[in-house]
Amino acid sequence: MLDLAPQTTPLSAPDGAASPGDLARRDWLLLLIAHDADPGGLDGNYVHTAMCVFSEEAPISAAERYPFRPGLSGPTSEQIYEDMDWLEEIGHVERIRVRGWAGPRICVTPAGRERAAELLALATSRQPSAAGLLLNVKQEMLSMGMTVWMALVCRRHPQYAGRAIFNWRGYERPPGREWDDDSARPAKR
Amino acid sequence: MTILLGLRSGEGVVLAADSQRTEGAFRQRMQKLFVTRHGIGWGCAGNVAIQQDLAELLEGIERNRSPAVVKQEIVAAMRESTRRATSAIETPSRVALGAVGLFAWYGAFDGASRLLRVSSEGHAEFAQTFTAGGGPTRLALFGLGRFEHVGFAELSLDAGKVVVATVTDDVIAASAHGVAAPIQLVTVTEREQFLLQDVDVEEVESAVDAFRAHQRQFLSELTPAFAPPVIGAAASAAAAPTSPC
Repeated sequence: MLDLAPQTTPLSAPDGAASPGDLARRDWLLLLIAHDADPGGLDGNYVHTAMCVFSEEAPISAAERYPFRPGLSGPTSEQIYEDMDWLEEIGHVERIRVRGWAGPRICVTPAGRERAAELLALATSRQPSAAGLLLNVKQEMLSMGMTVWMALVCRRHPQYAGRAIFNWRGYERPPGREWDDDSARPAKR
Repeated sequence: MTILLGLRSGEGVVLAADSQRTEGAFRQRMQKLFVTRHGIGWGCAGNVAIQQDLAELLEGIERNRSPAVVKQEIVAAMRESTRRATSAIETPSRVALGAVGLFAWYGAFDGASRLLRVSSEGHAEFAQTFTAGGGPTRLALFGLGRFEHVGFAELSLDAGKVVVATVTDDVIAASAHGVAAPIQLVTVTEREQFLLQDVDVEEVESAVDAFRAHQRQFLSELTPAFAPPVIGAAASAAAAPTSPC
C-alpha cells in the first residue's frame, strides 16, 4: 500500500547511482500506461499525476524524472505530452476519443504491451524500488476516484497545485478515508 | 458544419470551435479559429470561401480604436468577403451566402475586451456575457446558459477556458454529425491574444474531465447509494466474473 502522507523524502532508499542501463523517462511512462492496462485507456490526469508522484519520490536519476509545473488540474509536464507524441508515433500508444470524455484516453497497443513487458523485466531486475513504486502508484490511483486521487497528490505536492482551478488541497475528507494530518490541511478558500 | 462559442470572463474572452470540415461525405480536420496580426481573435462558421476572404480583410483592421469603429469595419469586411466569395455564382443559395463570425479583441481605447457576433447579412451585436454561432447554436447557447450561475464576469481566464471547453465538448457529443473534436481555443486578454496549441488544448480537456469527475464525486457524497464509476484496471477487476461458489 502506497503511503500518501505528505513527505519530502523518497519512499525508499535509492537503488544506487544511475547507470547507462537505467530506463529512460519515456520508458517509465510507457510502463505506467501499459501495466495492467484497461482497454478503455487511461485519463491524461492520471498519467500526469502518477508520473509526478513517481518523478518526485522514486529513487531514480535526474534524467529519468519529468519536470512539472502547476497546471489547470494539478501537476502538468510538457515533456510528458512530447513523449506521448513520440510513443504514439512509434506505435506503442494511441490516443482515442471516447464519448463522455473531453480529453483523449491513452491506450497501449500490442507493440507497446510487448515493449512494456521487456521494460518491466529490466526495471524489476535493475531498479526494483522504482518499479515497485510505479506499479503501486498505478494500483492505488485506480482504486480510488479521480477527485480523491487528485486531492491526495496535490496535498502531497502542493507546489504543483497553485494554478489548479479546483481547490484540491481544501477538498473535504472523503467518506471512509481519513486524512493523515488534519492540522496540516489548508483552510478552504 | 461548425460550432463557435464565445465567453467574456473577468480576465478576457475565450473563443472555442470544433475541428471538422465537412463537404458532403468528405471530412477533414481544419483550423477554424485565428488571430490577426493586430490581435483580433476570430472564427467563422459557414461558407469556407467567405472565411478565406475574411481572413485577408481582417488583417488590416486595427483594434485600438472606438469599439463602434472596429465593429463597423468588421461588418464591412464580412459583407465584402461574402460578396467576393459569391460573386461568381449566378443565383447564390442561402447556404452559399450564410456565414456567422465571432470576433474578440481587447481595445486600449476603452480598456475593455469585446465579443462581437456578425452575420454575413451585416447584422452585428456585442455580447455582454456569451454568444454562439454556427450549426448547433441553440445547443451551445443552452449549454453556456446552464453555467451562467457561476458568474462569468468573475471567472478567471483558466476557469473560463474550462467552462467553454466543457460546453463545446457537450455540443459536439450531442450533435449527430458535422462537428467533431478536438476543440480549438483562442484567448484574448489585454496582454496576449493567441490560438492555443494542441498541448495546451489537451491540458484544458483534461481539466474538463477532472471537473466532471469532481461533479461525480460530489453527487456520490450527497447520495450514498450513487457510486461514482471506478475507472481503469480496478473497474475491469470489479467486472470480472466471479465463481458462483
